[in-house]
Amino acid sequence: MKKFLKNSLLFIPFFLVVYVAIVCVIGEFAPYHFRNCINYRLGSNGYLHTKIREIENHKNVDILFIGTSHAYRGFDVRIFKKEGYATFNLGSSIQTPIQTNLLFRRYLDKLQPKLVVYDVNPEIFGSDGVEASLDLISNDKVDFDTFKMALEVNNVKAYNTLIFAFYQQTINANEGFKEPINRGEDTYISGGFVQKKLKTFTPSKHYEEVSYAFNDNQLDYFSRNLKLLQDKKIPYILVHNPLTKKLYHSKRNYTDFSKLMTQKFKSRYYDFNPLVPLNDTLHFYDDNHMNQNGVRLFDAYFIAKLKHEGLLSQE
Amino acid sequence: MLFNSLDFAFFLPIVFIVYWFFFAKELKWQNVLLLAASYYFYSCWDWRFLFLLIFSTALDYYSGHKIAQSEHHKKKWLILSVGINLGFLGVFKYFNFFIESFADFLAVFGINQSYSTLSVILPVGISFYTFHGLSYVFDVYNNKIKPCDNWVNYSLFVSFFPLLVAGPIERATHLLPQVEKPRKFDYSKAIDGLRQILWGLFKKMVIADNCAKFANAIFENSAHETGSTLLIGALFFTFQIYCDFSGYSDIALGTARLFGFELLQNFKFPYFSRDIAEFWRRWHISLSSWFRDYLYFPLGGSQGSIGLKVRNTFIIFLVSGFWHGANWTFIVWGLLNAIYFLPLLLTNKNRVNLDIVAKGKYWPNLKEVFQIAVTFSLTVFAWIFFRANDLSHAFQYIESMFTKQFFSMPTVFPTYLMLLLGFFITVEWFGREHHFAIQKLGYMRFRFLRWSFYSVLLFLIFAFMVTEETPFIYFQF
Repeated sequence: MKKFLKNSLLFIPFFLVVYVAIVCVIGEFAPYHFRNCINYRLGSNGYLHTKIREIENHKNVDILFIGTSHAYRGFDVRIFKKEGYATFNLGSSIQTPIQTNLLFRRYLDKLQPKLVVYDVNPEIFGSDGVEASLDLISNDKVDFDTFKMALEVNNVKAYNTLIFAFYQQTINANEGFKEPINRGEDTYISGGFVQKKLKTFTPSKHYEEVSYAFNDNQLDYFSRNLKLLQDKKIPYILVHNPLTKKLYHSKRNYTDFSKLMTQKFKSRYYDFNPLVPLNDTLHFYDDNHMNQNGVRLFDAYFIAKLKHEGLLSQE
Repeated sequence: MLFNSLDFAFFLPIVFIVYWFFFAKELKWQNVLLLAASYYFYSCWDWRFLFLLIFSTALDYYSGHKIAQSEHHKKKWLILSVGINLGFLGVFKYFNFFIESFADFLAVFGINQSYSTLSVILPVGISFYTFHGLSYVFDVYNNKIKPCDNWVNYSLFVSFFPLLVAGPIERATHLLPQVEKPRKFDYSKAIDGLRQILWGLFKKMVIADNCAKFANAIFENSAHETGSTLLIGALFFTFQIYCDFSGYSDIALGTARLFGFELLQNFKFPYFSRDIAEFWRRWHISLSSWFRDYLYFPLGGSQGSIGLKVRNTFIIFLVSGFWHGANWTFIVWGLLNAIYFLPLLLTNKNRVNLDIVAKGKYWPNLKEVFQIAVTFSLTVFAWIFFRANDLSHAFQYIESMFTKQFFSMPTVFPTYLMLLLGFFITVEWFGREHHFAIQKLGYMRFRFLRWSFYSVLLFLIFAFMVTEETPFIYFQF
């Protein structure tokens, strides 16, 4: 029995060394098709790699935008700049409260925003957060907080990507990496906005009616994020950016979501879907995202609304 | 609690440590512990069905004694025990099927009867533990064993957690003596058990679950897929069902070995069979041999006239199909296998391939390759019925498969899974002369190489496992 236990215990460190070695070898040398257990992607749709490196140049911003692609494709920092407001957009693809928490803890003190505009896309509250974690692991520094986030999403792909990202960081493999400003139809705008080439959209004829799902863990992290803002005495608002009307009306339990934001989290919550007069075809390029014409209309309305509510100074 | 769950990863070491550290010298307490652990394991699904399991155990235990004691009422007690056991099975598993099939039959003659079905859940493992119990009463009735005098020992024989929900279907003559005999910790047995668990987890979590992803998608969308894609779907299901079920059996056998038990081998590399008779000697062996001993032989087996042989063959395969579930697809699957088997039986060639293919050689010869390919193709074809939602789905699948697009490039072709299957088949081929594919690793001299191989397998499990826990297919039977 002693021999059995001794060998079993010895095998664990041996296995861990072999495991890490295999992950590094696969991540480094295997063709993309054979890497589906690791998802290390430098540069991403949300240009997280670039925007994190830009943070040093943005201090004491008037507004910090945070959230999903609804945020980084919906709030054009240039429009706010024209109105005299310094803003930074820290949105990233499918960002869930788990990732927002890490970004807040890392960058809130550096950015010192006067107002946080928190995009609350209802979809993210039902997400496991894996995809967004992979984006953050690949494009930001790897430290103990990253490890804790990986533990929180508890997914093998996240662990493997973390191991490989740590290895890349240790050997300084990404030192010379510069994300291209133009990628396909996207252009990165300094300050965190991503502009899509102007195009219109034809919504589907039929939208299946579904309900939003809410994951307790995400709700818990969301609550922590709000608490963190309250502790730092940073004012914030929760916003639901416009979707196409067809998609918006296909969600059955939307009222539950509104109640959740206003009653459970006791926050100022603005749903811009019924407020901004946007056309599904003319102002969107897909069901979730406005095109640049839509963004212009929405941002103008948004600024006016915030001024009217006294959340922005009348500069 | 699933074998491929985190819960089991905690449950097993705890039971193992308590078993060997606290009760190593006390057989009675070892058995009590295993029985308690087994009941806990079972109640993790639905504690209410624990009462059914205990009732079924008590019935067979009591019947066994009555059969042994009474001279004149032996048969009555046997019929009572078999009747009640099969009655439970009938109510939980087959009641709705019979009602619906009868109504469909009447509808053919224009008689439309309204009927109501039962809304009941199928208790996990009912087909398996019912057959454990039945084997015991049959063996007592046939004077093969004496009735068990210890309730705990008998209950453990029926409910031992590694085999409780999906077999192998044990025989009282094989497992009860092991329950009653003191067990000592054996290092090489325990290591062998861990090795078999590892291989079973690889089969289930890597091969079966990944094949399932694609097989399910293709079968559900079969009306719109090309012929070649449907062939890929059938192939994926063929590997899914084998790796799912034999993976479970490997984990069960390995786990039992950790506690000093040797369970019946359930699979012997069936896809390397050279004819259907050999396939059935290698697939779900504990069920095939159960039917052989308790149904086929009492019916006369392969003795007697040609008519009797044909009748017995059809009965055994149809019953075997029906055992899997209350659906015509399983019955047709059984029927198809009977049709495959019959020519071999009638030409007395059903016991030609009794040894291991290409024994002692690296590669099979051309004839063997051809035989394996034909047998494998027949099996793949039959699995389509097994997997289909109903008979019309199966026929639609087959019709869509054999179109000219059969020779086109499949629209679904996951390279990573093909490579994993290649690795899996290679390991199984070179391990086919042993009880399980990686057993011979134990004979490898260098620990570094052994441990490296285990680590690679563990890596593949972590890297390719499907993150949601997926139940084993045979739990539904």
